[in-house]
Amino acid sequence: MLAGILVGVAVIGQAMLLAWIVHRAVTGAPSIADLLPAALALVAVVLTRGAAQCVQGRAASTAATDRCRAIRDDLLDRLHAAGPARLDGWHRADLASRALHAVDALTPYIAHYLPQRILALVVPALIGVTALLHDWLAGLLLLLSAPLIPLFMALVGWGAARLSARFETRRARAAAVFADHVRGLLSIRLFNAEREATVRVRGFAEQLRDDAMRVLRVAFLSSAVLEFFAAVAVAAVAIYVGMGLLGYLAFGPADDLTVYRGLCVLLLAPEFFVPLRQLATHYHDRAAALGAAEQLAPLFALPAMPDATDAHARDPGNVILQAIRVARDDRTILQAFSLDVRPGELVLLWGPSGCGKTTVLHTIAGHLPVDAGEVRVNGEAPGIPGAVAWLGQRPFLAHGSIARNIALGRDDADRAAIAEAARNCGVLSFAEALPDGLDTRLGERGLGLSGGQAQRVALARAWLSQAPVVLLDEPTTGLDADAAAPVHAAMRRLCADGRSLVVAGHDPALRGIADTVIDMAEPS
Amino acid sequence: MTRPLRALLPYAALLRGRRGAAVTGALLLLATVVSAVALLGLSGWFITATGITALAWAAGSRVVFDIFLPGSGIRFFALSRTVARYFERLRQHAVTLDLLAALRTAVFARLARRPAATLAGLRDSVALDRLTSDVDAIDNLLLRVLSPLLVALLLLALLAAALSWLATPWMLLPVATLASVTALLCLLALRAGMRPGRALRTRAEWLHVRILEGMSGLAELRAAGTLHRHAARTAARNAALAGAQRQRAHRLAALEAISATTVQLAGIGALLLGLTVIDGGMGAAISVMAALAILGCAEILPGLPQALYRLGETQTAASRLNALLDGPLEATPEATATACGAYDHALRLDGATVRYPHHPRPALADITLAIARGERVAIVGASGCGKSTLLQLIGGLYPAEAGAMTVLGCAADRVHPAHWRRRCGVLTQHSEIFAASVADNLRLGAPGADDAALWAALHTAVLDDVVAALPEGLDTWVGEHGARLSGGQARRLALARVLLRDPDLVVLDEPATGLDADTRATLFARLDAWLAGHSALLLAHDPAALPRADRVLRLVDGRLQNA
Repeated sequence: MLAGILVGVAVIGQAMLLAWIVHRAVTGAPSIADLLPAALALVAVVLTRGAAQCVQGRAASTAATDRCRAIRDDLLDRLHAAGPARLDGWHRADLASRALHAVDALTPYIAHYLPQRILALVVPALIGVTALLHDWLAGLLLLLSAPLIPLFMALVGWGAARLSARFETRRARAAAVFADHVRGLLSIRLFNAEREATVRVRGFAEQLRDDAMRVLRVAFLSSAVLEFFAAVAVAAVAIYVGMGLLGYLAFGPADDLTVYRGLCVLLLAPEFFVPLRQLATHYHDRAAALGAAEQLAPLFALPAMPDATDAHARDPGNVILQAIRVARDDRTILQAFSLDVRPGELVLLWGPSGCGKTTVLHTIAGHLPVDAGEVRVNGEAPGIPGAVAWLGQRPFLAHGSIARNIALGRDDADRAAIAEAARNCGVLSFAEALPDGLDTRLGERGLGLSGGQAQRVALARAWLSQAPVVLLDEPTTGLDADAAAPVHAAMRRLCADGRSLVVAGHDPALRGIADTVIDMAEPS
Repeated sequence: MTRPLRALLPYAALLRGRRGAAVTGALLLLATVVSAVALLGLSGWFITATGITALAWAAGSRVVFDIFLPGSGIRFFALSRTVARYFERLRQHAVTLDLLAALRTAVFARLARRPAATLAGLRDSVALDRLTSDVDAIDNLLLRVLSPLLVALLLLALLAAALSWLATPWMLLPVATLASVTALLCLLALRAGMRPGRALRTRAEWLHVRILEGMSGLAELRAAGTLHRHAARTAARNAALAGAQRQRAHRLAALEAISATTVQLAGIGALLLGLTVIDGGMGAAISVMAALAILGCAEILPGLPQALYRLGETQTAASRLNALLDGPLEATPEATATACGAYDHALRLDGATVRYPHHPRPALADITLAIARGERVAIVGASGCGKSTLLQLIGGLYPAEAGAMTVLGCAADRVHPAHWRRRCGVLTQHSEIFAASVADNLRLGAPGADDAALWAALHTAVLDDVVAALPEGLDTWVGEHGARLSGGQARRLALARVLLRDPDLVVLDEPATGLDADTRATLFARLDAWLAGHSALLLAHDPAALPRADRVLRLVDGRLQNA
């Protein structure tokens, strides 16, 4: 900011020195050697200006990237704290794209628009005062025109704002149409609809172009107003000074005009408008940032998971839900629900989708608070790290090897322990046939593993984690009997190891391996 | 240095069809900068000249000074700069948006003819994000680089000619110095921007993968107690990206400052040079004119090295896009025979074998299957047993390595798949919902269908009540930036899209995924009625997940068995 003001001061100094050199050359006509000190000073000022400009640019961008980095870290913290239950309604890819692109869209606003808003006040004021001191009429002309500019811009911008809101929707839609159609190209090919789809992609892109042009025609008017003022100011000052020098003007300070004063005012006139013009060009950064902020606001508003702070005496493997009530989005999902799981027990929550099975798992994991009743997991409040292991319906597989996926972030995990977990949960039986064994790499979403194999990797992860309670959401849905059998065997082995398993499912085969079946369809 | 830039050539070619518009834009830009330069130069000359004349008059001279011609010149350039700037910005944006439309269409049309294996990779959200941001990066810079470079060159040439004629040929010296220093800066920027441009994009992608992993595995990571470690690594990648962004911003700021300072120094040099070498009464005025005209070049020159530095990023985007677009294309249906005959069997497979590259075992081995006209066959098998491959084979997305296939009387080895695809309806496991209205999503497979047909298909798919409850019914925008459909609803919309085609052969892969028992029962009852008279192949992991079929077969490890 200070560097930005220094740039403004250097601009003033440069204009004064340049004018002075010309003045001396015209009036005194001394030899070039007499002008040398002034010329050297001018060069020094120009170099200072360049350095200040560079420092300002660097400082602004450093501040902006640091700020955006902090915003992104904060956003990810919030999303992590919100927990999986609160993020249920969001597409994971959409969340990731917002955390990446929407945050990036804030950078130019912070780097350019925010500091420019202040510079656009300070620097023209400095220049205006300097011009006032050199020729009060010319200075007054500049200072009076300044407040008119925002007025005109506001008038023009008013119409553009409404148009640009609609344009933003169209822009997002056109981009989504392109991305969606690329993602679905195989379906499109199966429908023989490539041509149809190409026409749609083109149609939306062209509609966007036509819409954008309607907005821009108006939006550019506001900057044209500024350009016009800048150009007219230069022209008016030039003609005023010229006529004044020739003595054609018999009013105001015209009599006192010299080449020095005239040229100085002339050089300052366009510079007076430069910060304002820059503000106008950065105005679209503001619009983009507003759009991004709108995308980010609902994510920052997500409530955090309940805190798990009070730790009582440990009672590993015990899960007690006592008459809990859970409501989500004003809908009561669980009412007076109770559950008692003992160590080594396999409890099946049985019922159709939507009956609240997954909500029970989320509650035990501490992802959701209860509105009434009490939850005890291992004798403690829910949500303590390491208290439970979680297996989703589609097991999460990270980029990396099978071994890395079993360890999942436990870089210190012992190789032998990983292999033992892999053997107990039936991972070794298929991994041994792979070229790199447990070191075989998996792609995004674990391409290359079948559903049953992925579940077995997730079970091995639970085994390795030593968590006394394991929560499984529909572990065998979509698997046939042959694929489900090793998953069932691994689940029983976890029970034999003393872990308690709480399983949500509607696969009849699960009833055969469960110690207790809770029928959620009946009101309890 | 020129070789990497070659990646941009196919995109520069897009400009060719818009040469007129691009040239108009460049001319308007030239008019803008020439006006700015002339306005400053003329004003400077005018004031200094009036000062000199006033001094001469004071000394008793009776020199004539015409103030009206320069005065109207100043007014003209003031106006022409504003007007030219307005239309230039409008024109350039029109061309840019037009190019974006053309680029998206061209990329899409090209992708539409790429092999299925390439397209399957684009379902990955990171790859798709890369593609879309690459396309955006290219449209941005063609006009930010090409047009200003050309205009800057013309401006400097015009300035050199004008100053050596109006002032002195000595003025070629500062102009040429300015031109060469700027050119040098541009070359340096171009060279310096290549590697950071690549690094920036790679780092953004690494971060993207990390964030996505954190979002998808949130429950597992948190339960395992390793969320904080994952978060710390994500933060480290975030910091790495911020570092790359900061470095780029710093370099851009330095380039701009150096370039702007060069213009200022050239202006001062021109002034001192003019005062030294130009004799005569008006020497000072002419020197001021030259100096201010050169200072006016600050309008365009400092942006050039910046634009060239960013070219590194564009180049990365272009070469990645080229890698995706270049390579073999599918043949067009027009290029092949259309000899599909009458048929007794809707589908015949004789010993069909499919093998993916780098896979030891075939995905489908020696499959022999005949589905009679009007017959309904179910195939069940575990995930990974080859169901999806079978579907790709029938859809003509992946060829058989051995064996023969005839679909609806079209022999696969002689006829382009398009000829049987248009009479088939295939529901894959990834049946995407497109960002479009419900009606447009349905009509993708049947462009001419009327609303009654749409509602009938929605009814069969047990989705009519859901769509009727949407705010704008059939016209409701779904997909991204629209109403959210649940996974089960999206699946049934895709099913309705297949049924709407009223195909001769219908292939459904897991039509009942994500449905509760009641909805499933209703769907099967309606599907059962709809399927009467249709030849059908139904695929699922379990017979219970399918409506009634005439025959049930099992697919185990790529081999077909009787159930």
